[in-house]
Amino acid sequence: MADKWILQELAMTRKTVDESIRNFEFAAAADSLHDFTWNKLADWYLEVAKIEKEKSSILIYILKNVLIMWHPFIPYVTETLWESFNDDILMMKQWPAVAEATGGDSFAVIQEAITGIRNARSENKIEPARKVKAVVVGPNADLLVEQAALLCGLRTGVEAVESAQSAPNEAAIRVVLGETEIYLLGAVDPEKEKARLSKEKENLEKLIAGLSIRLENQEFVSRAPAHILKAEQDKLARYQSELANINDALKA
Amino acid sequence: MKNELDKTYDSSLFEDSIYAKWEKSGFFNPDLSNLPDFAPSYTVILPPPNITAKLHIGHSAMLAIEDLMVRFHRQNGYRTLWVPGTDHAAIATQNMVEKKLMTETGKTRHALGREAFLKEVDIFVENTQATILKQTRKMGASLDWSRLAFTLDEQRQKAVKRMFLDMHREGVIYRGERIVNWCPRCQSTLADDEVEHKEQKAKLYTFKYSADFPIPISTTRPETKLGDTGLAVNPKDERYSKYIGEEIETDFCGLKLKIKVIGDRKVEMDFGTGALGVTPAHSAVDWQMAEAQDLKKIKVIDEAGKIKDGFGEFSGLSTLEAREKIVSQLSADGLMIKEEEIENNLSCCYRCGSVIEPLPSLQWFISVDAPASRLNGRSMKEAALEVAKNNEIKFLPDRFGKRYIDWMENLHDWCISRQIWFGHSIPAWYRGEETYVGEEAPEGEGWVMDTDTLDTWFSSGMWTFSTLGWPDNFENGVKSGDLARFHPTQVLETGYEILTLWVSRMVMMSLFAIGEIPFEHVYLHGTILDAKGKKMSKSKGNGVDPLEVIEKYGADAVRLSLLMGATPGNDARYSEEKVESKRNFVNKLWNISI
Ligand SMILES: [Zn+2]
Repeated sequence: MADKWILQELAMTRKTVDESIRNFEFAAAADSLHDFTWNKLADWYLEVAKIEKEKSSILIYILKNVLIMWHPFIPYVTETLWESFNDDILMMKQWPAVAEATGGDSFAVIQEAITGIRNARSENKIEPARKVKAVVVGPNADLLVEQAALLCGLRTGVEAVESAQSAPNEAAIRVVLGETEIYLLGAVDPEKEKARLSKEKENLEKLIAGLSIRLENQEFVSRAPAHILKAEQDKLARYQSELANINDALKA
Repeated sequence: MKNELDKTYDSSLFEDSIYAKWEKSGFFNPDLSNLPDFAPSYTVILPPPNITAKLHIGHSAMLAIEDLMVRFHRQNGYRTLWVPGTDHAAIATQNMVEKKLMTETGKTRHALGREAFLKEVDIFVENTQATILKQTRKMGASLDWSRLAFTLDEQRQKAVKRMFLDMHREGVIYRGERIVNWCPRCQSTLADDEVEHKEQKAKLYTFKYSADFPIPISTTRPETKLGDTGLAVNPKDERYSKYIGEEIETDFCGLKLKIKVIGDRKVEMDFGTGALGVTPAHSAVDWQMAEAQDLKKIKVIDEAGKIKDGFGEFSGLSTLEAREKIVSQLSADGLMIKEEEIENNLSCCYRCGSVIEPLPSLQWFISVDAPASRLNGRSMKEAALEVAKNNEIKFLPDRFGKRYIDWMENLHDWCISRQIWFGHSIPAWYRGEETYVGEEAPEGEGWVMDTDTLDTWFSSGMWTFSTLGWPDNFENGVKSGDLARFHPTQVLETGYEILTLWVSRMVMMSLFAIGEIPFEHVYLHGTILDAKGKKMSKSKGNGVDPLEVIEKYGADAVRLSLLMGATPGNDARYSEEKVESKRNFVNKLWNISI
């Protein structure tokens, strides 16, 4: 599945680069190739290849295409690499006609899931070492369970993937991907979380007290410029609503 | 992998041997590739760098863009030719060598003499040329070195001479007296676009020629008034219109003047006094008025910027000395009415900054308006406008198409002779009043060859076809050889600052010589600025030596950093951090691949 996706991306890149150069849009051509090489090939496909293995023939195919397309931009390094595994000269190598490739779209679902999980972890400050379980609900659940190896292998900290009919009852972090939802279980350590929230609560209460005194001071209120006064009042309202949320969470 | 490669890419270990491999393969030359006959051709002519100095990072950007286009098309089945060359840059080079001569030996070129000086130039040219070609190779440019050309080499001399003779035969080249932009320092004429304009404060003097003269005038250059033969007023101006047609004799600072009052609707009634002293010999506008109204032309200032003989106590003075003297005399005589400070647009030499002296002189011109039979009765201007308006030549970005058209529509005859030693000679001989133009010196005694040389843009204007074998492979209007296979070229990629100086000339010359456009597309790149957005220059010390950065980061990183910021027509900033980040990318590609 990742193979289909990278071939599809390669074909699209090939088309964009070709058209951009013919339209004198050299920076756009380079950007597109750069995006393919760095983000798609290096960051995704090569990582997938480490998990799925036995990809050397397709890797060589992609690499050859990448070198051919990069050649007009960076001729020296591409020719040097080329001569390490080819007998002909890259400078004269015809750009291959890349066949229209399709069927790579489902890999995009996997990518989205992986990116979503990574983002959720960092937003929720989950330590990298902490392993979680992913419960998937929705139309793409089967696909994601099928590709559990990738979902677990690509720096997500996920150790197991399951599908379910509905959301689990346990405390979980929710990742929304359109109609499909992923629940990360075991991400939250109740004791630690409680301690963190209590600390946060204390902090907020202090801030609110300070601000309230300030805003009750008639001299300040009458002298401060309107926009500063407004900013301070907004700040107070924000702290108060954050405090309410934390209190709710602590009660749960 | 066939060969074992190191973990990191060290560009210095590979670049030279890879370039040698490409060159040895012969594939820079399209004649040696095994393409089918029907393969379309793709030709780019490298804008020849001036041999005045080594290349700067702006040239590297140009090479990177062109090599990208060329390599792409070569890899895509086109019969691809990229022609290398250098430009002799006549006046710029001569000035360079003059300066060098002065600092090294304290001698002027006149002290050295023409022949010895030109030898010095040759030595200089050989040196810088070698450096330029080395730098070009270092960038990885896949140029066909077997077709290397120089704007002043033997083949190009032949082409230039042929072009001059053809244009002369058609009546497009003529000799005539004109007001030229004269640089008293360089001792040479300058083209209109070689003149720079500087805003500066100047004094506007309002005075009468003499007490009994009825109309006061205003000028910033009282010393030129010694050569006034007319007085122009607006015919609608009720103050002065009654004088139109009168010829008034007057005494100006002790010298006799005969002033004819003429009507000219272009005179602004509310500038100064609304009356202009007409000085035909020292102002291009006044020259035209004099031609139209049949006024006498009296030359006051000579080629050294001094007042000529025959002007009494003023003769031999510099223009500034004469001005001072005249101003104080006018004040002493009670003729000065007003002295006021105004903003003035001063014309200066683009080479040396000296103030331009407009002077009449016998020069060779290209008439841009003369109908030519080989252009089916159209003028060069009309032909060059047509191809742009019909979109036969496309400009990128397209706003430059408009700029080209505007400029072309206002184009005046092009003065092509230059009073300098280094350049193409003019195939003209003189004997007394006789003039002969031809291939060789005419028979008979006493003929002297023209000592001037041609404007540098004359030869570079022919660059697309003179590098492809013209005139040898063009007979009776039929192209053969390289000219048939590779002309018109597909793209001219050059800096927008020479759109008018060069691009426009190439269009006119090509249409005249072979009846076709020189290129289908003109891609105009911007200037490479430093990291802070300032222009790079030697004096500011913010210039970048491409060889140094190539040495440090590799040519590919330099190329990529220039290409990834390139949009046509816009200036781009260069910074070493950018090059470094592209070097990191090159390493990434290396790591992915091994
Ligand atoms: Zn000058």
